[in-house]
Amino acid sequence: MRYLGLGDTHDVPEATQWAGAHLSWLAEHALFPGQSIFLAATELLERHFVTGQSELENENLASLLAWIDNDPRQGLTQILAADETALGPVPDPVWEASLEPLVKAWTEHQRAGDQAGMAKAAARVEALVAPKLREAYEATWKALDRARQIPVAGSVASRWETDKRQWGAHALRAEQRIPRFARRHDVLRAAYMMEEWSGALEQLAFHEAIDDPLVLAELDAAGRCVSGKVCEVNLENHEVKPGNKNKTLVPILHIELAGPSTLLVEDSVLWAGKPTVRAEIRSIDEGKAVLAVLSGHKHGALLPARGSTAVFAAMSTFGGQSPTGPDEVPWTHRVAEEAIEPDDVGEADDGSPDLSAGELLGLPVVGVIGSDAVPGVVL
Amino acid sequence: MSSKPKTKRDFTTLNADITTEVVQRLDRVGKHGAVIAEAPPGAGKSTLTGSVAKALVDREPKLRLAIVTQTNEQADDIVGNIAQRYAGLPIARLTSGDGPSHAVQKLLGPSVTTGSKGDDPDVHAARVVVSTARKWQYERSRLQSKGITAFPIALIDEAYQMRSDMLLGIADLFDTLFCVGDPGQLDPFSIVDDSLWKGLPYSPTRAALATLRLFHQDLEPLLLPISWRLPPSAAGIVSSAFYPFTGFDAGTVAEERSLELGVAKPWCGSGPAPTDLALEKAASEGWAYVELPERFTLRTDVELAATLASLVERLLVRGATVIDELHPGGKELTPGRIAVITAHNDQVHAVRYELAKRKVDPDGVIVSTANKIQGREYDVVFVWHPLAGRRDATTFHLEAGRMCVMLSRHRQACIVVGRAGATQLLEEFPDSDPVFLGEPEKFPDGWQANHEVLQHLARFRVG
Repeated sequence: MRYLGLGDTHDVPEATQWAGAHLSWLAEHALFPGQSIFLAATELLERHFVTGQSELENENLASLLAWIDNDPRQGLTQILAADETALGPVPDPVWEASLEPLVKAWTEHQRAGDQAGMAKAAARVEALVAPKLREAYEATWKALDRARQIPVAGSVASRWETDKRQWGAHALRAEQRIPRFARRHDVLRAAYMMEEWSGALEQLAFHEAIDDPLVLAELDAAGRCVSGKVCEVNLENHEVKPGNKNKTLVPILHIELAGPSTLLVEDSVLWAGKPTVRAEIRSIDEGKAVLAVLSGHKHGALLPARGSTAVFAAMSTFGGQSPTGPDEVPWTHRVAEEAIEPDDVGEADDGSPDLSAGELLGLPVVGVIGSDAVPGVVL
Repeated sequence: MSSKPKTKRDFTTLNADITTEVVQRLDRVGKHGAVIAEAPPGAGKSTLTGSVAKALVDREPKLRLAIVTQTNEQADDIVGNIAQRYAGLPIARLTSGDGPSHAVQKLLGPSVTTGSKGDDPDVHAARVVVSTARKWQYERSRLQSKGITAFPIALIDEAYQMRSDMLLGIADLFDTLFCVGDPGQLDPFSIVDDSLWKGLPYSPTRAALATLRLFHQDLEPLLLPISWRLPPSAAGIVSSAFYPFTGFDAGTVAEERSLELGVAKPWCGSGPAPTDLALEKAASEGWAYVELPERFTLRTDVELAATLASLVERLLVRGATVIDELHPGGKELTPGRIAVITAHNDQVHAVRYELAKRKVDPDGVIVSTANKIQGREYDVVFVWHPLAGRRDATTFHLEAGRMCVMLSRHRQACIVVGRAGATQLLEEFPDSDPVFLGEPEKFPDGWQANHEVLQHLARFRVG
């Protein structure tokens, strides 16, 4: 939709072009890890509920909701019934096939200039589509209501700030004119977004583990934690930390491990109770671990108490500056200069439509289905 | 599968020949060119990287050489390897601000140095500078505004595990590349959603070498023809299932490798221990496939974990002597030379738990996932078949690289434990992955490779 109206290919209302611009922004922002502006209801619920379905089956909102809200006394009855409804990325092919002759009829009436026939056909399409749409709409609200019953996590506010900032940037562009989007990311842009999204994903994983004991438990079960009873807190230990000249307090914690850990000496861990507290594993052996707290302990004031249970997780929270990308595309990512044809360059970001109007008209029509064909199968 | 008579080949001579060939090709490609060496499992990649580095610095007294690795451990290994083989060659390990690992600290001395910036005097004085791709990326970023003096040549180790955006981030630092890697192993992966970049030759999530080869189509990889690790019993199937076009041979002949199990000590049940059947088959034929009854299970299938643990336990109880070209007189099979490989981390824990229950030290033997065990080598390997007990066959579980890693870590024998019904699952489960235009076919195809492996394993079925 974002190319409509460009290059005199189609005459479309301005509102359509705006819709194309906003949808383009949403489509790209949807890929930003941890964003909460544009979510699929199924993805949202799947992060919080486990069902007896495969991931593919969970993409159908009807059966996902049936699993979540199932009355345990009912067995599988309601779930199996919901299986018959398709509220997923792909519509029910049988239903879709019943729509086809109606749309065809509308087109035929339009070609014949038959206004009354068109209206009649349109009404029949609406009668078929509206209940399905309503069903999906209501299920989406139900999913949202269900998600809202879950308490808000601590890190949500900061992620929402990021969302607002990014929408703000889009809104600023929109003040000038209808924002245009490149057909594809070019080399440098793609690498830049990769860096951005990887960083956001890392942050999200970290925040989820701190916010949600179940996520932390998953890390612990994978052996990525040192967890157990704090049996000794030594506040007398002083060391010269790397980069320092003088000795400073490095508290030492002895922990009786409650479960196995795959972490090794020298691995860096964060205290789940206060993730600004960073420690290093000094020894880990035979059910015991010794940690040296290197930073964030506020002169020993911020530490798990002796006798308490603590979890230290190995998580990367590298908050430093990302490396900047190269200014130009290096030799590895482009064709050697002498081999470049003039047509090969500079087309990725000109915002032009994929095909010209003439080219579009010249395209052969494929996938014409006979009336007796099996729905959903194109031969 | 090749059945041609094998003459004994000599690793040292072959390595010297390939080193010469690489150096000649590097001269030929010149600035903004690359030489790629493709190596099957156990083809002597690390040795080649070291000897090419040595040959290059010996030839040009002023040359400073960069080595790029994918992980810090690999960088440390290379520094250790070169320092040991070529004492006196000045080598520097470029690290992040946290400094070098204990492993490298032990090596530090007049010829092994370390620093966090390329222009630190110690690093600058070294002839060979080793670091991870990520660190080199920071280095390029730091020098961007100050002007980059490129290294004439860089060696990229495990290049097939490098992502395209990583190569983009470091390429300006280097004029010519020598990339060495194993195309059959797991592709680099990213959990970032890359749907927007599907079909783009420079998609950041593609393998770096895929991008490089698309833009430089004249690059003709040099193939390392021989696996010195895999025994003749394994080279055939691994070569045909995972390297169907290039192929490779085993560097040893069947008579050179054997695994002699200790006497079948009595066990608490009656008759022969069921685990003995599998162990004996593996010892004599190189393979055994233990097939448990068909059943849908959780990912941490307790019965399967217990079977793997019992096999390991029984092997340790019986003991074994390993005879190979390095130890023709035989040496004892130690727990550290035994590995159990699974697809998932939770399966690692399930196996470790079952081992501990049987009073086998779970840290004594190696239990790991395919992702983490890439590049490693053991005498006997046990594999948890990725499709065992599953209801679906996802791309993850069918990935050819994963299966290839699992089946190509052993020098003597490989015992796979799975569940009946895997072939049927493979045949019946529909592929639900979307198809993207312009995206190259994954090759070799995971479905086909898995099918071929299952057919191969069926010939060694026990239980």
